[in-house]
Amino acid sequence: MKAIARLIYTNFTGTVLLRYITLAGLAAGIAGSALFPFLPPLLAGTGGPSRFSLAQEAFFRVLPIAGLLCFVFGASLLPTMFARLATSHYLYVLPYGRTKLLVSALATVALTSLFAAGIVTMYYYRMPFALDLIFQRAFAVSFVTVSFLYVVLWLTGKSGTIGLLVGSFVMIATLVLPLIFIATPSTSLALPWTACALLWGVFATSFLLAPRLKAPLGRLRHAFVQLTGSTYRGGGEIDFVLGTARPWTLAAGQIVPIVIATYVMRLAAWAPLAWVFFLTIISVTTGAVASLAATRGRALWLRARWTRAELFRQVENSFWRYNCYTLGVLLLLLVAIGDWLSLPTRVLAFGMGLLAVGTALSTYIGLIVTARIGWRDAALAVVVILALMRTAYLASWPATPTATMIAYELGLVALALVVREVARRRWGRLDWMLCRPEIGVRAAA
Amino acid sequence: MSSPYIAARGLGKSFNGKPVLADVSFTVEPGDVVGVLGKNGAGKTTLLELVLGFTPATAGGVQFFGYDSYRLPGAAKARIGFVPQQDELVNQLTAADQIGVIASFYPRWDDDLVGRLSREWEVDLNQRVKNMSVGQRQKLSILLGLGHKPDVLILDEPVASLDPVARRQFLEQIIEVASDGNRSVVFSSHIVSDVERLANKIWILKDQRMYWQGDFDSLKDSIVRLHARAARPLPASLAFPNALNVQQNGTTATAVVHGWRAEMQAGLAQQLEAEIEVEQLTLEDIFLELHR
Amino acid sequence: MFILKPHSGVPIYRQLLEQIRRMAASGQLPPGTELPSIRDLALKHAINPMTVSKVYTLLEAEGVLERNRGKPMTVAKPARTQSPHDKRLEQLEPHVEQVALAARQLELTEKDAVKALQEAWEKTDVESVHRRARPR
Repeated sequence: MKAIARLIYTNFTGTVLLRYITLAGLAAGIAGSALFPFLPPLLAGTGGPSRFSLAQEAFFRVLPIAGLLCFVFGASLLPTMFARLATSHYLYVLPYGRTKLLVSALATVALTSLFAAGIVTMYYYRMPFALDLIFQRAFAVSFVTVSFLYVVLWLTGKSGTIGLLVGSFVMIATLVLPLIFIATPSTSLALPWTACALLWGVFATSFLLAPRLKAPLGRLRHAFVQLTGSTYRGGGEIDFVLGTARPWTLAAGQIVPIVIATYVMRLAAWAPLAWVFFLTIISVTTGAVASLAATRGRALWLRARWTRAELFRQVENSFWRYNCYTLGVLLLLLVAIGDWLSLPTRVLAFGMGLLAVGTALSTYIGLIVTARIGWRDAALAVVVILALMRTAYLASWPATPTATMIAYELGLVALALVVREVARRRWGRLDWMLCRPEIGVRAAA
Repeated sequence: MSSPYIAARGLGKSFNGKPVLADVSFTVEPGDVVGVLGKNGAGKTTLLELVLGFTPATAGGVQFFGYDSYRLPGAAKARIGFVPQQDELVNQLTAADQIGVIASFYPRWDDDLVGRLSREWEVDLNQRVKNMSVGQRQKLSILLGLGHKPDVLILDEPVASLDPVARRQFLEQIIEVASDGNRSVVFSSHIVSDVERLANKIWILKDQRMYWQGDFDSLKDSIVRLHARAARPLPASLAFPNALNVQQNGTTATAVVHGWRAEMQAGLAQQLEAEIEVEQLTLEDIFLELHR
Repeated sequence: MFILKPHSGVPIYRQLLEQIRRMAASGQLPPGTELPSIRDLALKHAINPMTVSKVYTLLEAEGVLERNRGKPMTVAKPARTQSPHDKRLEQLEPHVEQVALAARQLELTEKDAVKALQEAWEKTDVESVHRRARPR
């Protein structure tokens, strides 16, 4: 019990930043929700007089959701800690280690979901809905969503801090979906509960049985590798060192979540045009791999007879070879989905341009990271992502004038060139003492 | 005579048909300090992993506290400490938090001991793990294995990244553990001089088998270097008993033999018509001679 | 008190065993002298405590050391008088032979060997070793 409590506590407070985010989230969520009895209900026309001005009301309504988001983020140490402990020898040696770790993960997700459910329910206070039903729906959906989001955070977090940043944006972008699901009370609860049970059931079973499964799985993998031979694309040493030798992993890996998300979005009748938005976010994930290029490039410096400027060019080329695959897949998906959802050709055209420029931008943002990430770099990354999202949003509205769209996209291209120049200059004076690889982050490919 | 903490019989392990360890048997009694030596790839880490139940044996078995090591119950695990070769710490946490997380799994944890050692070993508990040097991280890993006062402490290359001062501090701590008489230590190391000081039992792994397994003092008495000096040139092919390595130079010859007993000296001197001098070897020499 | 070299070929236990024997026999460790505890000796020389324990047990069986309940091991009163002079000389023989052999191999004279022995005698005067080692 002690261990489970400690693990949950550490999930929320393990780093200084997360501790404050959790607390801020708790405070905002609770304070915001507490005010709801004093605000008129959301449904139009049923409100009574309110003590607050419109602006204040708007703020109070957004506050609890912001608090909720903070709280969810506050536990974002969970996937990292879980993964690290799960793959360590400690799990075999700590008494009941496996079980306790699993329970702590489940409990953390449950806590977050409870908080989410509570806050969402407050939004329906004094409205003609059965609150307990709302609570149940909110809890069920949150549970699935939060679990999924932590998996996303884990996958992106493996590539360092920029990856985490990107993952966070993906999370935010996709959070809208479950909220809409909750808001339409007519759909049944069976889906989220089944998804929950399936997800966690499979995960828990495979996790607890992992020691016994290791040997047969190892044999399977060995046989598979024997059968298919190497899965590496032909390429030079530089690709291996940078981690760009296996583009198919990311390229193919993108297909599944995009297809699933499309299907679900269609079901929820979400504006299909906002689809471009989602794809743009995905195109940004290459930045995560690029952000590690500088630390990994250290190995190349000694081996190849390149100057730093030449090294930058080689690295850039390697990434463009890599991007061709991921971008190619994304473009294909865009066209296919656009066709299926009957999106107008304009949207598709702009979307393609946006995807290309998004990939370029994210690669160069990643290459900018040549030392510890300062707040300036992080701010730039945020600005870029927001600019991309804004452009994506505009692109998906058919009412946007063509000229504006072209202007925006050209602007993004200009931004990409500027970022590239910054990256090029920085690589010209790379100081590898300032960008050491993190011990414990495994090397490329 | 109390029952051994660890007992293995005919232990073997293969991966995908390739044997990594074959026919290994040993016991670890309370109070033993066992040094595990072997070239890289000889199977040291696999052996330790089998003992701890990380992986199932493909032949034979190993009992830990009387239980099959692959199915160790939780209560037994509380009496075992392990320090892995590569540290497996969570980068984002502070050292204190990392200790707290691991400590929470155990029913008893000696905070005073860990606090004292972290001061002596100069491990700043408020520092984030990702900002620590490799040596600091290794020291922290060792602390994590000591805090719950395990009856058996197993360490895989624990001092590979430590400077001599830190290594000596570590040795002293192992001696403290061993002084208890009821606690055992098993550690693998390339730093033979450390093993030489500490171990009372040596396991030498060679070619996936246990080449020597037993008392350290007997090992030193068993593998010796003989120097023979004769009046007349010695025959071209000398018959030294159980020779590992023979070098001959006219009237003198040197041979490293194993299985030596003191009473063999007189007989050999007579047989070769030479004076025989017995030189005892350091552990490092023994190890090198075995792998010539 | 003792000079132990863990990295010479000679097993540590034998070094310690012979040193204690010699010192007790010669009177350098008079009867009643307290020996350090197993733990302290092990820590001081950074060696395995079981080694020390083995030596103490062996010497107790030989009658050289005495175990007192609750108190550290002490040097026992010799059974009769101390070991006769000849017996002790016999113990020294193999070591001296080694010195002679080495000197001959190095083509040194008897005088050189004797001189070297005298210097070594000075050097191994245990008290002066400790005095030199103590920081000023």
